[in-house]
Amino acid sequence: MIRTENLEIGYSSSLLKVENLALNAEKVYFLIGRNGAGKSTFLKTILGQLKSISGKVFLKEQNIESIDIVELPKKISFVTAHFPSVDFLRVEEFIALGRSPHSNYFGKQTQRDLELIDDCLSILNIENLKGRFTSELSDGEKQLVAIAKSLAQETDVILLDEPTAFLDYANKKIVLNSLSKVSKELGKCIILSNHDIDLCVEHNGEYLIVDSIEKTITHHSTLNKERILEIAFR
Amino acid sequence: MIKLLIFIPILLLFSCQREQNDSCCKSDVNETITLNTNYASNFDLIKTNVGYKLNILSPETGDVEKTISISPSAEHKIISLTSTLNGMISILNEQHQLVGVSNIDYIYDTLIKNIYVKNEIASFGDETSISLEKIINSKADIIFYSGFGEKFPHQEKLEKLGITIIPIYDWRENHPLGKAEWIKLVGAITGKEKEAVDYFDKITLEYEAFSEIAENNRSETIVLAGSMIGDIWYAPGGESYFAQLINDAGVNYQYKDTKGTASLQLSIEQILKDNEHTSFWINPGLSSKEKILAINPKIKFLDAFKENTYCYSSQQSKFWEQSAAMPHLLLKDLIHIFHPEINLEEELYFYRKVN
Amino acid sequence: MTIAKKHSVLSILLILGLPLFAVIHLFAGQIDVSFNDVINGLFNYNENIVNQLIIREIRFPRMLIAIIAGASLSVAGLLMQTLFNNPLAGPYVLGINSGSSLFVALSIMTGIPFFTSELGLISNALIGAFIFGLIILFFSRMVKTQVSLLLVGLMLGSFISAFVSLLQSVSNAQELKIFTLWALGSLQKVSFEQLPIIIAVALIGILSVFLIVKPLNILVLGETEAKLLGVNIRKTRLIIIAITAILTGLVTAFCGPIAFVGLAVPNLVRILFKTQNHSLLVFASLLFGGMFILICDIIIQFLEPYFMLPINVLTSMIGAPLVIFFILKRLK
Repeated sequence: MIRTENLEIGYSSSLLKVENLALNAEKVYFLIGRNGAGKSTFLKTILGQLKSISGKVFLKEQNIESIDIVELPKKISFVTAHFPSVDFLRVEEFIALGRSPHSNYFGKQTQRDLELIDDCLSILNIENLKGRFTSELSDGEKQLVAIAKSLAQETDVILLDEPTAFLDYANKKIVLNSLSKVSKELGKCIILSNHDIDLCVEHNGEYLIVDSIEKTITHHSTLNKERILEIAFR
Repeated sequence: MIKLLIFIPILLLFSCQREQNDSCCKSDVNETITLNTNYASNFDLIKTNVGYKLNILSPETGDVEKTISISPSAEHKIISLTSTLNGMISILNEQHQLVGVSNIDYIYDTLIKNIYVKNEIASFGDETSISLEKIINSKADIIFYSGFGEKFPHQEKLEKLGITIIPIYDWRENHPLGKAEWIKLVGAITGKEKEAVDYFDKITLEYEAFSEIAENNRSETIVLAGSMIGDIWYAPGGESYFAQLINDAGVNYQYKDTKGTASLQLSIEQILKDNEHTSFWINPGLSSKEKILAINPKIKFLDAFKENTYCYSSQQSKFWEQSAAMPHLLLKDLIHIFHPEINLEEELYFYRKVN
Repeated sequence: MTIAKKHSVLSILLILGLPLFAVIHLFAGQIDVSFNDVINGLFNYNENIVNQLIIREIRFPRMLIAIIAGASLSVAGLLMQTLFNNPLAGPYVLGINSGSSLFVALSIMTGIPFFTSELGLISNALIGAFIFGLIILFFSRMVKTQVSLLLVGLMLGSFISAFVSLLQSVSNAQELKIFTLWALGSLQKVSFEQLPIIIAVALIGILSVFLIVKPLNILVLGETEAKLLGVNIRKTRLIIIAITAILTGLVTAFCGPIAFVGLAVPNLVRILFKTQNHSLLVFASLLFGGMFILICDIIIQFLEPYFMLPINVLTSMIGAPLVIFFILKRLK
């Protein structure tokens, strides 16, 4: 699904060298590293928001930099770390905005859009949030609603920036379980940055580890907790 | 009840103010002679053995607001912030006593302008922005300003420096000759009292003569006055000096039956509705039809605007400076405008037709 | 009641309310007019009958410009609020009005005939609004909080008015008078013949808003999210500023400044409708804004026998406390 070739990332100079990756559908990838090590930089580069220093990112064998900015949101979606605080925005209106890359010039909602929004709510078990204002949701609920929006975007790839950072343990589990479920059932390729090693290990995902000494990002299919700590946080 | 008892005499005093003044001054007649003020109601001038005692009376209550002693001989240095008094100073040929005016651009008298060029007169701006140091530097000893019931800025400090500050209420008089009579005050201060009294007597006779001609030719013509500021039409009140002037010109002021001297505030709808049969509109405040319409295009529907609008001469400063002291010419202009059948032969002095 | 049902009820109320108040406005005022006067004044005009003249030349243009001004300013306010992601934004508080005023002042004071013509006045008001829209856009990238953008806007406004005062002090008395009176704000200067051009410009501005409803809806999430959803931010920003300039400049040119309507109305509409759907918000702001100024002006006409209130004074008296209320609600 996602493939990188000799990728070097950074803002103006090379920050990290990325091992040649081949990331697949139906998988969850945990991006693990210190704060400030370059996790967000990596996500932005994959998203096409930030130009790579050198090397290429391919999304379904298409160079990400050659994809039109109007087309890109149909293929890859991003869940930001901060949920937008907006008054009077209902859950279903918020999720419907995820449909906007697919909708017509006036953003008209079709019957299919409405059904899809309901499906997204039900796969995450949050049908009960329908009709609520997003500003009144708990942090855990906000995160699930944000995920629902990126599901509504119907992209093959979903990137998430620290989706569990502000959540309590129970909510962290719910969010990660939901993501595993989504990747399996809907066949999505999911990459999320995280530093809750314990939780990551509980879910059988794969790992992208940022080594801030070696300045590399490496892919590991399985790892135990000690090994992760050794590489990522030494 | 006690309040009422105090209040009644005050009311009486107010209602027969002139007699009161006369009788009060006769009591100490040994020392003083009151100069008669026949029309003006906002000041009294009393001749004492050392000069004059000037009482400025509050237009609101008729009480003495301020008493000023004037020594007769001295040459003064005067800052005059009201244009009407500048006009009176000019009539008495005492421009050389002026050291300051509010804005030289609004001065009409050529002699004052010439003195300004020689740097012997300065512009002081209006009282809201006046500079204390500039006043002191001018060595002025008298300041005239338009009274509005409040003290002059820095009044206490200036008085400590020996500067006499005189509020001028000519604009609150409700008879044209009352405004003109303030020339007696200017005469007393500048040492030209006799000339001022003679001048006033002369214009009073002329005014009365014109007024009689107008009365003999009284017509049913209706006249509108005033101008729009924003959405509001300000028209002189029915008891104001301008309403008196229009009446003395032998025509009917549209709002002559309203009470008070204060301006009326009217909507354009009201103006249009009331003035269907009005023949003249006077004092629109601007000198061309184009500018009047720029302020409110709706005025074009006023019939009197189409043909018969007269406004001040294009030199507005002339009107402001001279009209108060020359009500006879003002009246003559109005008779000329409203009664084309009376052949006055001469040109208009203040007014001209708005084009 | 479902949300959709509530929205329909509110919409119907607005759709019925606007013409209702428009008719009341035609009959309000000191001069009593009959139903026939109104009908004849509009459809069978005889300028020699004063009551018909009052309807056609005074009340009808005043009523229509009240609606247009209210609708335009409210939609302009809504656009500003969405663009800056800041419910406290509006054309008046952000100094867009003042920018317009500055250019109008310059044009009146220079006395160049083209500038003082009607077309010159409108184009200057539009250009001024557009330039100051860009300036506030520039500042908006530098400030972090919603209230500080408001402060920047107010300071910009004060700066401009100081500059305008300076212009006034060097201009001659009659030009000064014309400008000072213009700056008071008035719904009564528009004539019947000017209505077509005003309606045309207002329609251009308002209809183009409906073309950008989709990016507006997405912009609610902030620029970062909007970009991720494929919105061309630079282009959208410029379009929004241009439309705001058209709507604000038009109103400022013909009515002078009218404060706080643009800030208050969209907030009230959001509180009523509780939605971020911009097709609904724009539609409701148009009707509610038109109604808001109509009602203000009916109050003014009602009070005319006692005292005369400029429109800008009344909208400030109602709007400023509302703004304080909104700020307190944000800060708590």
